[in-house]
Amino acid sequence: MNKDMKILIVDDFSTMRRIIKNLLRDLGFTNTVEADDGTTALPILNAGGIDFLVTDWNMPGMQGIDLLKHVRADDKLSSMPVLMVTAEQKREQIIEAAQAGVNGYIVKPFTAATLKEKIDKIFERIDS
Amino acid sequence: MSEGIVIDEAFIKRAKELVANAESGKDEEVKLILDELVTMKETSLFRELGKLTRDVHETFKAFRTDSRITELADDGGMADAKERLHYVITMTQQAADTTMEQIESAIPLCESITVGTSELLSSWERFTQKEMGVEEFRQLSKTLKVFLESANNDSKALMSHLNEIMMSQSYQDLTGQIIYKVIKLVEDIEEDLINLIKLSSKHIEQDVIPDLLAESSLDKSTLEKKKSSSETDNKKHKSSLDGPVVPGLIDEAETLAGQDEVDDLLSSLGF
Repeated sequence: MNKDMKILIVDDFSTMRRIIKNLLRDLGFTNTVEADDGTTALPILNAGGIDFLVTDWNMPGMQGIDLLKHVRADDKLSSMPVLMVTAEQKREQIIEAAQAGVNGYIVKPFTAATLKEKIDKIFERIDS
Repeated sequence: MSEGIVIDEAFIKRAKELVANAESGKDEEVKLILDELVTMKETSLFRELGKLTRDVHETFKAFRTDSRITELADDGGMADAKERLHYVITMTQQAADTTMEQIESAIPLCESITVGTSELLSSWERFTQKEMGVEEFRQLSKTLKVFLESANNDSKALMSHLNEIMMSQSYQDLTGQIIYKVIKLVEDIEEDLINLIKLSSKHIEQDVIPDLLAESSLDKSTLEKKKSSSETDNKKHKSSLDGPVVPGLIDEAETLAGQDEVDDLLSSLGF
């Protein structure tokens, strides 16, 4: 796992973006950028250079699930690992996210250990 | 309805007769026609009143069948809102408690580091001034080792307290989502009440409505837009996201209990 990879954090609540950013920094990932919903995340993704996407689900404008579907449908972005960090925990929603091709799913509130575990798992699979 | 009277031909005819009779001093006739005119006015008033009553009745009937209102009542929308707001209080209380506990645990660690460094600084000062004997320096060296070990542990513990404080701030996101839901409910109720006023306002001066709308946070165009798309809104409402789990408001069959259950579901799906 490349600790210099560029990570895009998408959440409409700035407090949550800061929490995730700080947790990632603790894990050694310092190269992060932020967006507050899918609509603002897209231009950043399209500009290129993002290696890993961490996104909330419920956001005004474009929601996280639509952002994920967009990423999977775009040839240039389709292989990007996507981790969802959301308060949504209905069975059908988790299945929808899985079907849309999410790589990891974390429910809020979460712990630093959970975030580390999911990121490790995602990159173990990609690297193997 | 200008004072509930219909000025028609019959009325004008009788009014003219009233004037003619009054001019020629026919008191009995005048009294008779006056009574008749008053009755005409009252009949017209009662007719208007009957119409108003029927309109209000129809409006309430329509209101009862408005699905959002019945949903509000059936799903206990107001009770839900209260439950959600109570949970917001609980969550903010918990976050504040956690933060205070972590700070109270962190302060003694900072104090211990401060006291240790102050003592060592003065000893170090004596050492650099060559005021320290060999035996005292051996003692300082031991003290220094003990301090460095404890400071190392203390700063690790401090880091963990700071992390706990940071994580507890996630309440802002979760309570924010819950409050957004309550705001949406209040807006829906406001919209429905305004629609009720509009429906029953055929008898109210029309310019009262824009005033009411101006006082509400909803503007007229939003209202019209919402009204025209209320069908699709209702559908959207049903499939809308649940947001954070509020105890007491969970559909237990459909909602997973936490990260472990989410992990189990995902692994059953081949993740």
